[in-house]
Amino acid sequence: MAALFWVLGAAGAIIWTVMMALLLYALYFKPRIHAERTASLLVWIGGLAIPATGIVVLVIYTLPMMPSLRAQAGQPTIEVVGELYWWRVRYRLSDGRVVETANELHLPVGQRTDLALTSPDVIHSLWIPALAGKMDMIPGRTNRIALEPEREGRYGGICAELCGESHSFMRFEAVVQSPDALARWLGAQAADANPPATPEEKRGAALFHETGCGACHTIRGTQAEGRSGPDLTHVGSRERIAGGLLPNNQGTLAGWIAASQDLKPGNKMPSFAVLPGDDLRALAAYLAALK
Amino acid sequence: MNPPPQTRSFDPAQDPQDDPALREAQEHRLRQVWASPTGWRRLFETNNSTIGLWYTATAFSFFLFAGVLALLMRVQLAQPGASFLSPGVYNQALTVHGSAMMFLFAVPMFEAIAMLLMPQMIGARDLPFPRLSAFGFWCFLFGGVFFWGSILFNAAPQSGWFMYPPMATREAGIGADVWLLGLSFIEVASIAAAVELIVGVLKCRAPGMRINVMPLYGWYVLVVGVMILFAFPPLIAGDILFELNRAMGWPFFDAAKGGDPLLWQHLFWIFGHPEVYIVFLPSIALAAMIVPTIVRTPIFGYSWIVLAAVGTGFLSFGLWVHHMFTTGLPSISIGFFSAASQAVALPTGVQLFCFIATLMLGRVRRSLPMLWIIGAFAIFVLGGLTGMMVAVAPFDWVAHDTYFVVAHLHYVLIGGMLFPIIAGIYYYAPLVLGRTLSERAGRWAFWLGLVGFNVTFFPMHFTGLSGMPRRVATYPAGIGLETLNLISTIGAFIFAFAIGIIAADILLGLFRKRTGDAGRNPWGAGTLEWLAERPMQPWGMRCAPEVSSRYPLWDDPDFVRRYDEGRGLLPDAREGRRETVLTTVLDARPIQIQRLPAPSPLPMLSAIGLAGLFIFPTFHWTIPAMISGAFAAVFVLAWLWTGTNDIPEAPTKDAGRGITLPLHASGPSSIGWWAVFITMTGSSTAFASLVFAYFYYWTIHPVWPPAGTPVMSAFWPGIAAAAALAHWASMFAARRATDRSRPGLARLAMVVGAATALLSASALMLGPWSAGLDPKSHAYPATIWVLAGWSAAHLLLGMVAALYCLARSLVGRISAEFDGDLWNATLFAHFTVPTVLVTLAVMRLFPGSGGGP
Amino acid sequence: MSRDKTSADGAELRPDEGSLFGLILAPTTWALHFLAVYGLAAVACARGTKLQPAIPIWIGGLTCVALLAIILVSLPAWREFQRERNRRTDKADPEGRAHFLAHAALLLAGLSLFATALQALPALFAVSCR
Repeated sequence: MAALFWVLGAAGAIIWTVMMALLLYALYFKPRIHAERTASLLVWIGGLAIPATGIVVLVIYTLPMMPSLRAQAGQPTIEVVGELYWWRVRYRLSDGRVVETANELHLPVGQRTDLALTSPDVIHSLWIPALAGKMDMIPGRTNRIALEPEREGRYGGICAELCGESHSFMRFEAVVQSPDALARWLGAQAADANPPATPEEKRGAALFHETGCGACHTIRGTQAEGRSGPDLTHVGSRERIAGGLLPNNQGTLAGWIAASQDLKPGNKMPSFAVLPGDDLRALAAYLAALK
Repeated sequence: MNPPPQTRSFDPAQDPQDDPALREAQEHRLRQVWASPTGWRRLFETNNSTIGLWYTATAFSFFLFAGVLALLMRVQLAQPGASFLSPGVYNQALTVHGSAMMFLFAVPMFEAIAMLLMPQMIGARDLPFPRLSAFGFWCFLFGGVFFWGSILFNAAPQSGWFMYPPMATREAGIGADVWLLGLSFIEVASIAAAVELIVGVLKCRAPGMRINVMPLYGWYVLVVGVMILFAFPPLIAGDILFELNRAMGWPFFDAAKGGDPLLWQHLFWIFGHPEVYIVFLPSIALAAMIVPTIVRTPIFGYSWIVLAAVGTGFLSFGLWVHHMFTTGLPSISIGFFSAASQAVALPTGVQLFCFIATLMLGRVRRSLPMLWIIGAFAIFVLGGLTGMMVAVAPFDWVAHDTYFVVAHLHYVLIGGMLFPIIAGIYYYAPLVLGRTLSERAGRWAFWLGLVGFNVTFFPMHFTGLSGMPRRVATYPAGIGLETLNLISTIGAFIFAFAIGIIAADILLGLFRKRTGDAGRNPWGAGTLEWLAERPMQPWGMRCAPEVSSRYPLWDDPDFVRRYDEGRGLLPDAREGRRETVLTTVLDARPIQIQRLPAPSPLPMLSAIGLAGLFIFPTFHWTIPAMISGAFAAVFVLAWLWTGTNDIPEAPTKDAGRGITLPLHASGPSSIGWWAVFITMTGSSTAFASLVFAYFYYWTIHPVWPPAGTPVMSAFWPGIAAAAALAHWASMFAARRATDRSRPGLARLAMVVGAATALLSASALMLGPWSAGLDPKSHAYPATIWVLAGWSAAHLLLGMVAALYCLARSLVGRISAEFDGDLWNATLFAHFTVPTVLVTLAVMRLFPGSGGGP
Repeated sequence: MSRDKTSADGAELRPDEGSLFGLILAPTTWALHFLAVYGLAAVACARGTKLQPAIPIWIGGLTCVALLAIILVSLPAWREFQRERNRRTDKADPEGRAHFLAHAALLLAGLSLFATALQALPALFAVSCR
């Protein structure tokens, strides 16, 4: 893709320079008034012959690139759902289990992975600038995109289609890792949540259920089975929270719970500003420990 | 029956115009007839020079407002994580900025400038429908102020200027309704302007100005006018579906109920891409007027430029999907649009090379307008080349919806539209404002503008490719976007300063009345608009001069004197009426004198009524909206009643130079018939878009109509079809009977025509109603209802037309000779009845809809 | 009676005398071809999996028909233009006007041929419903 950009960019720069040179020549530097024949030749060659050839070459050069860049037939194993303003990611494991997580897309390095893209509410668009072009997520349709990352690492992704007030905060990270590491990670994610260990975490777990968090969030292995918010079974293992807005630690988790509407206006989670500080800390401790 | 034009021998040695006293009396009469009303009655003016100036000024002020919003957005983006504008306000700002620049500036500016300058370029006193111009202006003003005002009340739309559903259909508050209703209203004004300008170019040219010697501006206006007829109606159709979805819950864009958000994208971009050329072509047309003057050489490659204008007009309709490359369409479909998007570069290139070729053929005078044209060229070519890049689908998948596209579209629009228009402002200021603008300020503005523009937008190519999507209210620090954004913000203020200089120069001139009157035709141009006298005269043209070349002022040294002495057609206004000459389409042979209406409050009142009809529903004020709509209907009927198809005091009139021309025409020779024809072409395009929606749903649904849809009986559709055909036959019969001077029979046919139209409309609605099709349940019944409603509305208008003709007949204003109203009503039926029949076929005969195999 | 009403403009709008309609015949053919191939591919991809392998053949055939049609509708303009090749198109007489219309129609035919042929390339290089 970078090669395509440089080819197109260089060709564009040359054409622009030649056209400006011709214009300035005709304006200020022509030694004499030209004959109509010369003008006619200019229009025939410069206005017609060269552009027509160029267009044919460009079309033939670029059209065949397209099919190879698109997703293959068959059902992709990873599904990404654009939500208001976060990303639901579902992995279908070979043993039939489905692992759901949020805002982190784990991909194997050096392999082609196709994603199935959908959206339940408004149009979003999935874009990881360093890896590939973008593809829209449109209600009622399932689009596909093919990704083939070449180097391990973490790459920022973002929603590219205006989707509402907090469109700018709808980010995520693509984590490109070796196939082995990915398998290990998936295995860990497939497990149920760790039970709370410390007293503070236990209090947090209780609060989680009393406050009704489970109506929207799932923590596998507990009664929390809500579907509308992100799956929190392993929320502590994620690098960032809130659609990439904040780093993930106890403090930011507590802040997010208390002020989600200030941080990300229009998202579907109400601010739980009524909770006392102790409760917030306990809740956040519980969540942060869900590695 | 239309009397033919008559020519008797004319002896130049006995030209009545030789008498200076007569000429003075003529000038006095013309001045009185064409003088603007004074005081507050000036608002009733309909003359193109006045309306055109108001129109231009209004569009330019909307441009300045929208520019201020851009500055606010640039302040917000100057630093990462800024909170100068909240995300909600930022979304309002970007939506209003884009929508206002497109709908309140770019398109209206074309209409305004064409209205202001084109009649005199082609040697007409005014446009053929001056009250329609005024009506268009008032619609634009009310709709624009309403739309603009919304952001001051924090109630503006927030979904971006292309308003993609489902986000836009679900948007809380009135913002989306403001967008739909306020801008629909302006779209209506655009179609009115298109009708006016197409008829103007084709029928109002000076005698002898054949189609091959018409100024190129006329060609561009013709092409753009026709483009509007095919581009705006799909958007209007989309707006109807959108508002029904939003206000009534008809699920056109609701995937859960069989709708599809992508349908809106198709309809929007079928409008949206041609629209780019609708704003580009008329601006480049200004360059086609300026360049020859600056080098004092006829334009090179006239036919080539006509090719470019017509070719671009066509090809621009084959590009719309390149705005949808990332929606997951099949590669092969993307391929078609990618190829067509590259092909459109060809006519554009030809156009630019013709300008270079013209410059090679003459000696260039350094001047401000030319400077701005050079700037336009540099910017536009760059924007065109990045356009070729994004037309390559794999590249577009990266660049789409990023700042790269923001850069691209601003290069194209500012280089292709704004800079040429500023060149036009400098070039035409002596003609319109009566003085030249400051050379020194102009040079400062140019260089600041050129530098400021590039500093703002050039870095955006890289901002976009490094990962900044468009329409984000902010961006995080540390991903390499800070510096580029800060540079863009600084550039934006430099650019704004340059625009400020130009605005100040124009404004100061208006108030201070500085000297600087450069006299008549200061650039030494060769075309007719520069005949304008000093001091300015109200009459548009002293007379309609005989034209025999592309640049009559250059080719005939005696031309101006003869014009000034009134040695052309219509040198006088003896009856105290405003008049202009109508000529034939190709060869511009004079065929009629068109009486033009005097200033009137009716256009403004109609626009006020219509404004209520469009604006009140935003607040769900149904009753006031209906009352307002009724007022609009009354005013429009009053407007039609007075001053259209009037019976003149004599069948013909001496136009001067030995030519006697009829004062009235009906049928295809009359401009009224042309206007109905053109309007209905636009209306048919909107209807075709609704039918397209039906078949679009068919392609995406494996079963269409959906299983379980109630089957409609053939009874009501059958009645509707029969009644529609009877309506058609009655309107024909009414015309034939009138032709044979049998008014009684004609009136009976009109009554039958009105009754059958009503019957057909009712039966159309009873069909889906009796079948129990619920438009809220699924996109299928919703589409059937909207098709039925569209056709029924046209039938009701047909009924009004028949009753109007009946009333005209009863008061003796329709006769075998004066039957223009009847011709127009019949023409309306020619369009309505096929619409009804297609609707019924889709309803009943399409496979699976109940009646088919 | 009603014949009078079609009067002067009618004669100038008849397609056989190098009228304005002569100008748009070729690009209209391009537009119809464009709609046909786009519609064909869209419907084949959306509904008819059986049709898909035949897309290139259909598009090839349609393109040949369209190219031929453009040439045919441009023949009158070609003849008019050949009558006197070096006539100027800026003369304000009926011949100048006819020559101009023929010239512009031919140029548009050339553009239409180019754009129509270009439109067939996706059928060669990017046949895929994905």
